[in-house]
Amino acid sequence: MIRREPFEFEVLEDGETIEYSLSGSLDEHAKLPDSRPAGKVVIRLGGVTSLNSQGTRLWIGWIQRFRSPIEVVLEDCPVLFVKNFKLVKGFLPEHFVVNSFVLPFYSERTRERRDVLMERGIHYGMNLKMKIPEQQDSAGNVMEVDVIESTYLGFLKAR
Amino acid sequence: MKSVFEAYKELWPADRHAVLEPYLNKIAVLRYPEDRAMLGKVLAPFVVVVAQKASLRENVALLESGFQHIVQQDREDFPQELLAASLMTTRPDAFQKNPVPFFLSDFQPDMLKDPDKNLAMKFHKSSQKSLLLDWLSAFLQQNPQTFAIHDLSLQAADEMLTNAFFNAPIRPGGLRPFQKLPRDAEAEISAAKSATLFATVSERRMIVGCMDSFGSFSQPNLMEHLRHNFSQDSIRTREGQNGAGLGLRYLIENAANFYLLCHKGISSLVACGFVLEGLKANLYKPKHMHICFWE
Repeated sequence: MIRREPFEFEVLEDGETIEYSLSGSLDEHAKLPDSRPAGKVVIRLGGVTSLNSQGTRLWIGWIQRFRSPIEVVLEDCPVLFVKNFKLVKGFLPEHFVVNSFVLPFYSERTRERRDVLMERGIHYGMNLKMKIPEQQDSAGNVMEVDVIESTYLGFLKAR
Repeated sequence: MKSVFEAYKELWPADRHAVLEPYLNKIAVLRYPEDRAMLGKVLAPFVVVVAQKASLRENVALLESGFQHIVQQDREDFPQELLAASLMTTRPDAFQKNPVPFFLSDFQPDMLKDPDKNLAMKFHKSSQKSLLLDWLSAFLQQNPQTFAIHDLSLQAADEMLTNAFFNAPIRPGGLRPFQKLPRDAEAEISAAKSATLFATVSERRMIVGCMDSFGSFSQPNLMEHLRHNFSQDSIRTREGQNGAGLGLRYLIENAANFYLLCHKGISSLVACGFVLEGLKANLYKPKHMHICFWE
């Protein structure tokens, strides 16, 4: 049996910047790191494998420590995080910058899913028109974006 | 108003009409939005609402009006869901005994005996949750067609389990002993009252559900919670240490079909039906919803 990973974090400090890397299940058992004074905070979320309603509330409580003018950058946001950006109040404060997030693709023919990392400055943001990279499944068919873009990407509008 | 049989008999093969007619004739059809004027004038529990792309907010308003079954006409699985809704109302005992055939349009009896297609796990304490989700995750991973919805279905199961541990248990006087506990505390019920988490996968569908032995959902509280959850586009988490107030929204949003059936004082079943066609087919399509309370 493949066990789901328990929640873990790493903290790296580099001058004025503190980088938090979160991984595993963000749920009621997760202990989020103590925050430290910083000018810039980078939160890497690519390792987060699951998120429930308790984890959602913990996240909201934790990020309230990073108030403006602290610059906060989110990296590698998984689908369950992006889904919450518009759904849950306080999940993505206005001064947070989403530097990269996952966009899921799906092939009806082969029933494959592929998660593609969308990066600010390459695929969106900074006055760029959204560029969605074409994806092909293992049989060479073009894959479809597996979300409704206006809903899923709605968080980008106000930024 | 026409009965389900009168309005939709052509959806099923003629050789099944004689079997289905006695059940489907007892249930009336209300078409939404065409028959909106009839909403307050019908005996809601014996009516299936056949909706044209009703939004979640419209679904909730219909449920608040007392309707128990909302079936979306434009979905591919409309005939099966209409039949299931009718049978849930006319044959609740059969449904409670074995709900899985009602949920899956391509159900085959062998599925329940096949460990690759069917999983059922009993549990009675909250410290088992992580292991239950590990098993469910492993079960999903052995069915590659579920890969696209692995995270959605696991999140739904997680919320079902939290509800079963902390909200469902109730004492004869009405006290819910675990409801106010922090969700990382241990909540333990007697083994005799153990609950079951189940999942069944067919070629095109999957159902994940949780059945408890309390039947303790409160209809007014549930409706209030639904109204709160779906009256606005974005919601606030609840303060404090107990429920975050988001679980029901995750359950309903993640799935293509949602079922909540409460046999008062006996058992409750919460289940999510997933279409094995990626995220979009589950998150954004008009949803079939069934919320039934039986005395």
